[in-house]
Order: sequence, then C-alpha cells, then structure tokens
Amino acid sequence: MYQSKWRIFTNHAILILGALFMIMPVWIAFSSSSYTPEYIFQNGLQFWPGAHFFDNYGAILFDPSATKGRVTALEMLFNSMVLGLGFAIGKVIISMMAAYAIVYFRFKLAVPIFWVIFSTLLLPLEVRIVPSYEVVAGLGLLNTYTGLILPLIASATGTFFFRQFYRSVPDELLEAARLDGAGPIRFFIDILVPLSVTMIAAIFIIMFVVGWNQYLWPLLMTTDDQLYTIVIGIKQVYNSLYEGGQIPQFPKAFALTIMATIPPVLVVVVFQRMFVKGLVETEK
Amino acid sequence: MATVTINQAEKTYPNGYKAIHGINLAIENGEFTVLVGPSGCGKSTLLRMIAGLEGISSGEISIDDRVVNKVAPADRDIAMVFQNYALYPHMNNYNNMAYGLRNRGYSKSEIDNKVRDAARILQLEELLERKPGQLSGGQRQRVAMGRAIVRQPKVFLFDEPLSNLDAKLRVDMRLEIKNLQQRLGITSVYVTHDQVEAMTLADRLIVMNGGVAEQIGSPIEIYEKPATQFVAGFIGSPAMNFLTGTVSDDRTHVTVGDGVKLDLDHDVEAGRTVTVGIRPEHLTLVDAQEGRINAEVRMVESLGAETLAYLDFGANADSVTLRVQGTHQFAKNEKLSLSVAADKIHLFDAQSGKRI
Amino acid sequence: MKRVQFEHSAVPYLFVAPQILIISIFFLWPAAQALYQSFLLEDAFGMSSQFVWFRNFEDVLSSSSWSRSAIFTVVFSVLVSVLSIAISLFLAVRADEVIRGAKSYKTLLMWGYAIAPPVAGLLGNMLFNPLMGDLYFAFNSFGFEFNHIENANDAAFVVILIAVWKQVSVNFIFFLSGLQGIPKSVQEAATLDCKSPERRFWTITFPLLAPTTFFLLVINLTYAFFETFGIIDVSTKGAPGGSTATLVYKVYVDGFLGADMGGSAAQSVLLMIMVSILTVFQFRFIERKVHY
Repeated sequence: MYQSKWRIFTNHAILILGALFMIMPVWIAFSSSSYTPEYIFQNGLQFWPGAHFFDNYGAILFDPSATKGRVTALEMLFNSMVLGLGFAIGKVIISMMAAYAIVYFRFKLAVPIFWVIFSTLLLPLEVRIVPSYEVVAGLGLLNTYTGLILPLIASATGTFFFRQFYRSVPDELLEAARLDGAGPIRFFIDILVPLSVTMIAAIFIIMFVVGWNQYLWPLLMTTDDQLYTIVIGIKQVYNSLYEGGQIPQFPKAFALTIMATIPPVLVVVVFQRMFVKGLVETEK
Repeated sequence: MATVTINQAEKTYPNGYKAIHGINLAIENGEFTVLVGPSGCGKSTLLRMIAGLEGISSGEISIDDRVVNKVAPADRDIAMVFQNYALYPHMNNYNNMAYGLRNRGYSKSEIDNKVRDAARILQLEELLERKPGQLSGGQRQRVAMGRAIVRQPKVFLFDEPLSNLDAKLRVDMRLEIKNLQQRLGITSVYVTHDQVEAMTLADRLIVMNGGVAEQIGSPIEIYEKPATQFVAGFIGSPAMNFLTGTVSDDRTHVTVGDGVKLDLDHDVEAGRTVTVGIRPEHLTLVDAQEGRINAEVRMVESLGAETLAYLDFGANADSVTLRVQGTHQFAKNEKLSLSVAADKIHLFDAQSGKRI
Repeated sequence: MKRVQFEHSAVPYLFVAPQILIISIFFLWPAAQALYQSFLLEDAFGMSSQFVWFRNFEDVLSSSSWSRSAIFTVVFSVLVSVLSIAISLFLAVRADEVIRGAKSYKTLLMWGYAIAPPVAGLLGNMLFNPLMGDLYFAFNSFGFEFNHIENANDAAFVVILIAVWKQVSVNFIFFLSGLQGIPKSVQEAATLDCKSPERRFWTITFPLLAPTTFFLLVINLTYAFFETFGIIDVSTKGAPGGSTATLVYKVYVDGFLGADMGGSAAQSVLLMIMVSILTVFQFRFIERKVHY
C-alpha cells in the first residue's frame, strides 16, 4: 500500500515515543536499583546502571533482612510461582470440565447452573472481600495456599472462554465420535482435550500472569510472611521505606519491583503469539 | 450387509416444526439408495435418523429386522461420511481410521490389518502418518471414506460427501464411491442435492420435498415417469418445460399457448385443464406449420456436445427450452418450429401436480 | 447450542461439580453474607449486632465521603478509559501501518500487559517522589507548583497517569488485532477513494473498529473500577484526605482498616449493583454483535 515519506517518518517517530513511554519507568527503576541507597538518596534516580547490581539483587534474593521481613525474595518468587501455576492449572481444569457439561449435555439443572456460573462474572472478588475473608478464616484457610488460590478460581471467566471455544468446534466431530463408539468421557479425553491444546495453552498463559499479579486477595489472606508473594513483598518494602530514621532503601525496593516484573513479562513476550490469540479470541 | 426398513417414520422438532412426514422405505441388501431433494426437504434429517443422531418422533427404523429406534448410534453398526469430513484434526490419518476400532476393543494387529487394507483400497498408504490438515480436499474425503470402511459396517451413510470438492474431483470421487460400493457390496444411503450425482450413483432414488418422499424408484423410472410435477422439474437438466393446456373434446390432443395442438395418447377426460410437461431433449425441429410450436430464439447456449436454445412462442410469450445434440448456429430472433411425440408428453393435474 | 448433545444422568453433574462447589463456598456464601451484613449494625466491639433494615445504606448514601469517592470513581474511570483507549488506538493505527520493525514495535508496546498494578503504582510513586522523582522535578521546574501530596487534583493526575500507562498495552493488543482483521482490500479501496490518511481513518477505519472500541470501553471501565486497587494502594493510598480513593479502595479501608462491617458490606452491595448493570450491558452488546 502506498505511504508518503512523511507518513512513514511520523509512524516510526510516534511508535518509538510510545515504546519509550512504556519502557522508561521500568528502565529507570532497573538502573536505579544498581546503586547504593546513599547514592540514590543524594543524587536522585539514575538513567545508567551502576556498580551495585549484584550486591543489591543478591541481598534481596538471599537475605531476609533486606526485604524487611522474615522471607527472602527467592521465597516470595516461589510463592508467586505457586499462586500463578496453581491458579492457572486449577482454573483451566475446572472451567474445561464445567464448560463441557454446559455445552455438550442436556440435563435438568443446566439452566440454573449456567446462571449461577454466569452470576460470578457480575461480582468480582474485589466487591466482596470482607465476607470472603470471613468465610476463608472460618474454614481455617488463612495463610494457606488453598485459601489463597481457591477463592480466586471461583470466577467463571475461564468457563466462558471454553464455552465459546467448544461452541465453535464442528458438531460433526461429536457425531463422528459417537458413531465410532466414544461415550461422553472418552470423547472429552480423546477428542476435545487434544483439540483444545492451543486454547488451553493460551488461557494458561493469561491465567498465570493474572494469578502472579494478584494483589488485593493475597494482601488480606496472608498475614504470615512465609506466604508473601513477590507482589505483596513490594508493598511490604514500600511501607517500610521511611521507617526507623534510616536512609530509605530505594534500590532494594526497585530491585524487588524488577524481579516481580520479569517472570510474567518473559512469559508474555516468549509466548506472544499464543497469548495474543488467547486474549483476543476468547474475550470477544 | 443388511436391509434397512423405515416404517411410517416421522420427525417433529420441539418447536413444532415437522421435518419428516411419515416415510416408508425398504432398502435391500447391498442396495445403493440416494436421497435427493432441494435444501430443507428433510433428506439429511432422515439420514441422521437412520444414524441415530436425530431421534425418531414416531414410526420405526430397523436395520436387519432389528428396530433401532432406541439403539445408540455406535451400536447400530453403521458408518457415516460427513459433508465437512469431520476428521479428528489432532490425530494422524491412521489414528483417525483406527479410533472407532479401538473403541470397539479390536486387537492391535486386527486394527493394523484393517487400516492398512482400507488404506490400500483408497490409495492412502503414503499418507497414513500425516494429519488431516496436511491433506488436500480429495485426500481428506478419502480418509473419511477409509474411516467408514475399516469397520465393515452393515450400512454406509453419506451426507453430501462431495459438495466441498471442486467439479473435476467430484466426478472422480463419484466414480470411486460407486466402484467401491459395488466391490464391497455394502448397503448404502447417500444424501445429495445434486441430481447428476443422484442419477449416476443410485440403484434406487428417493426424491424428497417438504419432508415427504415424492417418488421412489430407479433413476430411469423417475426420469421417464415422474410421479409429480415437482419430481419432473427437479430431475433432468435443463429442467422440464411446463405449459398449461386444455384437453380437446375428442381427447386426441391438448391445446397449449395460443392454439398450439399437441397429439395425445393419454386416457384423460375431455376439457380438463392440465399441466403439460415436455423435456427439452424431446422437442424436435420440424418445418413451420399451423398448430405447431412456432417460436422465436431468445438466447442460445452452446456447450459443444449439445446446444440449448431458450425460445418464446405465442401471444402470451410462453417460453420453452430446446436441447439438440451437437452445435447449431441459431441466430437471435430466428424463427423455429417444434414438435413433440405423443408418448414423450407428460400430463400433470393442474392443481395437485400428480401425474395423469 | 450443539445440534446433538449427550443425554446422561450423572456425567454432566460430575463435570460441573468442582466449579459449583467452589462457587458455592467462595462466592455465593460470601455474597449472601455481604447482603446479610449490610442490614446489620455491629457494636463497637463486634460482640453483638442488630438488624437495622436499610440504615447502613442510608448512612452510606448520605455520607459525604462516600459520595465524594463515588464522584471520583466515575471521573477517574471515564478519564482512564478514554485516555488509554485514545493513546493505544493512535499507536495501534501507526503500528498497523509500519512494515519495517512491525514485530519489534508490537512486542515493545504489548509487554506492559504483564505488569502488576502495584508495580505500576510503585514506579509512579518513584517518578513522583518529592525526594528524587524525575517527573516531580520536571513539572515543578516548569513552574506548575506541582504537589500531589497535598493537592487533590495533582494526586488525581498522578493516579490517572499510572492507571493509563498500565492499561495502554491491553488496549493496544485489541486494537491492533482489530485493525489487522479489516480486509486489506477495504483499506486499499479507501486509499483510492480518499487521499488524506486522517480522513480515511475517521470515515473507514474507526467505524469498522467501533465494536472493538465499545468492547474495550466496558473492559476499561471494569479495570478502572476494580483493578486499580493495587495502583492506589502503592501510590497515593487515597491521599490527600481520601480524595483519590475509589469505591473499591474505600470498601477495603472502611471494612478492614476501619472495621465498620455493616457499612463496608452496604458499600459492597452497592458496588455489586453497579457492576451488575455494567456487565449486563456488556453481555447485551456482545449478544447483539453476534447478529451482525
């Protein structure tokens, strides 16, 4: 397609500015994370990386006192990984199964069940945090991975993704499988699950990122440092920045921020195609 | 090998729509039966009722004298070829064919033998390791056929299996299907809306319209003695010419257009208004004469082996189609004179459309 | 729905059981409890409570802090949605046009999806820190007398900027794929009919993107309502004086930090009603889109 020279030039200029707009804050945080707190305190944020990269990241990763708590960033990363994976796996399995029942079966309670599942879309966790907290506390699940993950899975977004996808699977496939002697469970395992592999991968990636980035629920749920995710750790360090008359530990806060950001960004960039496909095709 | 008997089968959908109105049909051992009709006539529904993919509202369907109304599709011992092939996209072609056998508990070596046999018959041996997505339309069609024949079912069902192929491939596959069916001798029911496919494949043809079997018979019977005006118009290409006529007092001829008299040898009462049907290939060119169809050429299509001329005649500009062998140089507005033999004239009741 | 479905008595119930179980325990029960609590008034020690009908709702709706938060939430949500949609549409149109480096630009603009809201909040906090924030210094050196610690408008500006920054990537992804879904032949026909790229955009491209834009508007409003919690909690914490607290943030502050259970529950119920309306609206739209 024809484009004028001027148009091509402005296109690149605008996109470069846009990319800088996205990247600059993270880059500055990264550079500033490699200085001593004293240096940052006296000289402000830094554009170019400094000499204390390994000191700061090493301390954060392995020394609990650097994160102002009893856990290291390494343990927090592990907790985040558990939350991200647990959330993604749980959500994919549960919603695949529920969507299968809804789309492929005629059963008595189908309509009320559909509406119960649908209603969870109306009310995100954020609007019912207080009673949810009480329920989880009542079940004795505070400060457990189960209590952290299960309530987040209650929302039905995944079920709707899969419902949408199953409906696009040609009817003839089910008919052919039935003629081939496959019953409901065999059809699910032999045909539908293998057919959904790309969709599963795409939703898994999205859910992993969503799970990793959870903030409000883990904040309420985890009073025990041992269960802090890295995203909660940021808040913890941030809160103690001005404590005790010391020099604010900005570089370490930045280092933690960078570490919280790298895994989900890597996942999104590496699996970009799959991720975009999943996001765009399922949310519509 | 099996017989299929359909006894007063009806299908009514929950919304009250009646797709099939009481069909009776007895398909014999090894017979190739074709269901043909326009879209929405119920032909696919009937096929799916035989397969068990649609329930039967009333009546009975039996395979080999066993009523199968309540039998699960997988237990009816039938195989089906779908219009869009319905191959399992994540399995290679070998597994696509083997899947039904595995579910039926065949041993590994039996499965292997059967799949390899089918692959040899269909010339798919080279393609077994590939997945359906890597095949051309014709090859996919073959895998779908293979999936049907490995099971050596009692009945083959085909749901417009060739309609997604291009014209040349369609002809090749048509011949192949006919050949295969004759070789294996398996009772088959085939659904199509293409009358050429229907005529060439069928041992017996069922022309359906609006959920009713309008006529059941051999292709030639249906061509020569269409039971209704609908069948007459649907089978044959180009379609039969229809003209409104009145039987003369002495019952020796019928008058069409503005005074054209055509000889009759039907037994029909005098003065009755009828629909006269004449196939384009049964009109013959003759010398101009009073009382003949003296028509004017409106349009010509030369197909090489034959020539089609679209003509108008009489004060009411009634139109007829003429089909002659070979190439003819008709000019536009050229005047032609046509006649038709008495035994090539079909008469239908003007109201009911039934053959007289 | 499917033309053919299984009819099986037990299997479908087995398949929906896990989901229904989780929803019942962690969704229906808390939601019912929120509703119940919103009609209760607890004493200061949480020892006893009494049923007070709509008192909590009356208190909430008549409180000036709630209505201020509601107004802020609406203004905040609309501004965040409109600004981030506008910026990402602008970028997506350009990214759709470039040929050289198209892939790199795409990656550079979409990775932000993976940033957690509190991370965005902390980055914003860093850049606006009065001790060292580059943007803080920059604004003040232009003579704006910028002070988001004390000035409510300046604080709102900071939160909105962070929220927009965080949301640009998501919108960009959707717009770019929407643009790539427009047939090249349509774009080429438009090039023959109309010389000006700007005019072409407003008369051809933008109308074709209308469904995407509308969909994103709903998504963005939902985002601004709920997911910005982490941004606010790590940047302004609702300061100064609750002027940048969204309704969700206020539920948290009153319920957890203030321990006003009945009031917080009533706020939750009001929020639920608002979100339900938004979601039903969204589904109506999606259902209709199917018929295009």
